[in-house]
Amino acid sequence: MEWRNLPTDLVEDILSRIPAITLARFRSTSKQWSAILKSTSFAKMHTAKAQKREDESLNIMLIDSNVFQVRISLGAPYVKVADNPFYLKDPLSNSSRVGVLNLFHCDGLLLCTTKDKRLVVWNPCSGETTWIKPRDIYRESDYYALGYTYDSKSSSKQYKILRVDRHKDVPPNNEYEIYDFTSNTWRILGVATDWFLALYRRGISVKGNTFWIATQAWSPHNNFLLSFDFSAEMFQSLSLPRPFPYSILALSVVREEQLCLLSLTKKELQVCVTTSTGSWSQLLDVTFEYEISSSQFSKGMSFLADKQSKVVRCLNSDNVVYTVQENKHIQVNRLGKGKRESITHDNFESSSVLLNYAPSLTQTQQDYTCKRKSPST
Amino acid sequence: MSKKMIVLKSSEGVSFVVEEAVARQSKIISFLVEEFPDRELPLTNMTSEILRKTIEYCKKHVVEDDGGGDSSSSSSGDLKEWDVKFVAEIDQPRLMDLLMAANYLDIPSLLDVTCQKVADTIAACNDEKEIRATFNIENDFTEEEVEAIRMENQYPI
Repeated sequence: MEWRNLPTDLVEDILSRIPAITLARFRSTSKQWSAILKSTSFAKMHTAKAQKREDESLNIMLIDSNVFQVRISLGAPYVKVADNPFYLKDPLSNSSRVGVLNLFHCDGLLLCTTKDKRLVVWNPCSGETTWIKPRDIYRESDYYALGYTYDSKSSSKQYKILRVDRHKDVPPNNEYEIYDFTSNTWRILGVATDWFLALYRRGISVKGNTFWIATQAWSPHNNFLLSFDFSAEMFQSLSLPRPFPYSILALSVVREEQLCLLSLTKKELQVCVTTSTGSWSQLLDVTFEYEISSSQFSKGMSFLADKQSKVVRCLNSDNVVYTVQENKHIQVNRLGKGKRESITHDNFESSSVLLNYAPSLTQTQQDYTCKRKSPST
Repeated sequence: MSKKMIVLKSSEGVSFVVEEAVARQSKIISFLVEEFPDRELPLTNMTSEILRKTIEYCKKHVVEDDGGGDSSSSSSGDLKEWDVKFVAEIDQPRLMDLLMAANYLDIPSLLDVTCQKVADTIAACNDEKEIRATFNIENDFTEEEVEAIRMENQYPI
């Protein structure tokens, strides 16, 4: 029995049982495989099966403008970054890799702002990209989030991009608009005036909606949890765990469904996660013997929390990973080119991001391959 | 009361006498024995070796209506373990034959375990060359095409 005699539906059945990140490696096996792995119907089939598979997740990191796969072993608090980054192909040139400035993860898709001021939705597993044209121009102060609404009738996800244009006005004047992948157009939704979103705040996607730590526009300027519901296309404010006398540093997500909050005083680090009832429960509370400098756990850092082993790993803006465990031990890993130079030739500075990534062959739209957008300039 | 028996004939013309309940694991045989009173079914595209293996699987998985037989006494955990061992003992070319047989005879559980075994074998391969060698898949890409795909995908871990 030869492989070539296998009916296509059987080949698809077999391949859909393999994790997305493994499949990506095998795209060059044959033309048949390559075609299957690119097809929308296969992506759907694969996603349906992936929900039954356990623990298919890995970590990725954005450092020095490149996106890398990262291996973190639980036993040894050691972070291994892949030698080569994922290749984000420039549609304008066949041979160059596009530098990534910042990224946002939702459902196996990365929404990236690039060094050349473009916006792209990228699936590093399938290599598929959708370049998004701005309504006018993209600004450094823009905030982007990728989310989805679930259509139970067609059992498919409809992806949307939220753009918040953060004017630095006082009082705040946050214009926001939404991009629809079915019509490929931006639609202005309104202006939010009751909160500030600091430049370093990172949005986190949980079940299709996005969450941030925002600051009230009025005194006493308390921090609160801001969310954007992609179905209702509305912002909502939610409460943080109380009492909460800490400076809140960052948000993260555990197992794709629980929001996780990291906060810090001079000597104490706390991590809380949301429970199924929507309340907060404490995951980790560590008191250090010495004061922690703000350069270690800096603003805008990202982190991963492991619920079982109660370990938190933070990546700061100097590409240093701090691993904090219950026993208060801090393990330090320096990555990439290390401390960035304060003056770069680019207008923008690339972020450092560590996140949990759920590989999938998800595509943003049904007729995705036919409608690949030309990049904006 | 004696059990109903049917005869399955391999491509080499070898006859296998099996209990109807065993053979009925195959949806297509189940259909045929109801539609045709004939008790002999020629399976022209199945070798004796693969037919024997398929029957071995069906015998293990048969659930008897009267609930009395010892073959139905296996717990689902034991059965899963048996399945894993069953496909592990089969070499690659025969596994593909068995997968095709499961597809042809429409035996969903056997199709599931064989597909899973093939998927696990693929996932364990280091690169596409190993897959091609294991499954005898022809490389129909040009050098340039392979290079272009490789450039997009650099997964060193």
